[in-house]
Amino acid sequence: MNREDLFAAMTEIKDEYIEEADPGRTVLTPQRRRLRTYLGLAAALALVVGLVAIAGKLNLSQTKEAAFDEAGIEEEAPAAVEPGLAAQSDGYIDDGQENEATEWPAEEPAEEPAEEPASDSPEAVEESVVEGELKETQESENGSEKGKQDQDEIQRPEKILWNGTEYSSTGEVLYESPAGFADAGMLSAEAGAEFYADDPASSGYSVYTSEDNADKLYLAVPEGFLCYAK
Amino acid sequence: MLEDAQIVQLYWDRDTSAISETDSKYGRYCSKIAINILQSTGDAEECVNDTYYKVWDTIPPQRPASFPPFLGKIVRNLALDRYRYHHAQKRNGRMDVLLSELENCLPAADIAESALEAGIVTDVINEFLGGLNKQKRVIFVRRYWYSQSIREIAKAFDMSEGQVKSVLFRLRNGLRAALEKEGVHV
Repeated sequence: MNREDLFAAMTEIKDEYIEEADPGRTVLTPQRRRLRTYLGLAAALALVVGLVAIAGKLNLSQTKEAAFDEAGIEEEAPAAVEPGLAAQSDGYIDDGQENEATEWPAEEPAEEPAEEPASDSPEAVEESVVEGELKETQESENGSEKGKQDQDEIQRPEKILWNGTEYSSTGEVLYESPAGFADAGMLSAEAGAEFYADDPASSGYSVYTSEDNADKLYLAVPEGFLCYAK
Repeated sequence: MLEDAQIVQLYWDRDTSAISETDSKYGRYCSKIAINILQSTGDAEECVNDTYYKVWDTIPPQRPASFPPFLGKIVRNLALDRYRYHHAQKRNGRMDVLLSELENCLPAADIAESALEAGIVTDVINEFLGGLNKQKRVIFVRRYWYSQSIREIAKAFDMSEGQVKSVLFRLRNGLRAALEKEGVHV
């Protein structure tokens, strides 16, 4: 059996696997795209929550003012109605007096829109949205920070053996492909078995040096891809 | 465009329009499989034409439950035969790379021959694929069944090429372990 036989043996795998992987019809949700979708949904949700909070705040302030106004009426209305007390006690309320008494609190809600625009105006809403976005961005940044922390928690070997030479970790981690590296391979595979010269590191490259030579090794953990530069 | 069952019925009715209907619906699908293996448009075209005649000869008596994999298997086998035929004369870099990747999955020759004949290898591959999550399975099948390039797979999954290589490396090791587990020792 040679490699072509193994390739041929694969021809007869289950139809469902072939259909599932059909490049023309399989719609997959790649991890990053899915992550982007989640982030987009989270941002939208944060926006909605922000708007709801703003609306709630407005309602609350309106309710408070209304409550305050009502209290004001209760406190001040007697003084305002006082001249009509005699009439009231007579069981007669003059329409004009009643209107006068009820008109005063009615004026306040009319003033509210004039005072409130500060928080209700489009500029204010926009400002709040921007704040929400900023907060979201900060959260994202915190998330990426956390991601980096997770990366740092990856077990990185202190020493590695490559081509018979021992290399020690410098503790440095590169999150971009090291410049000018000359070669790459799999640390765990036999020398020459796997070579991926353009392999990008998804988990960062740990940097290693040796006392025996000036070579620097860059190990992508946990993939095990290795490259070196002189 | 006809439904697959209608196309199959055309074959059963010995209606030659079955071939044009197949070509219309699955010509591109078959060509892609053949091109990925042969790396030659001309060879792939001939291979796809051979596929239609093979299907014509096979249906009836067969009535495939799922038509695309049925076609795909035929075109893949024919493309592989053609690859083997041409391989002595010329090299096919991409296919060579793909096959070299599979070398570290290979079991020992003597045991593997009998296992291959008994269909055990295919059973092990099926079982191995069944144990993977969908994404890994699709990556494996796209690479080693559809012979897609690393770049195509990476693009489809929005992954880096290195990540795809990493996944495939682990999958190949997994397949070798699965073969060993079934008594096919490396």
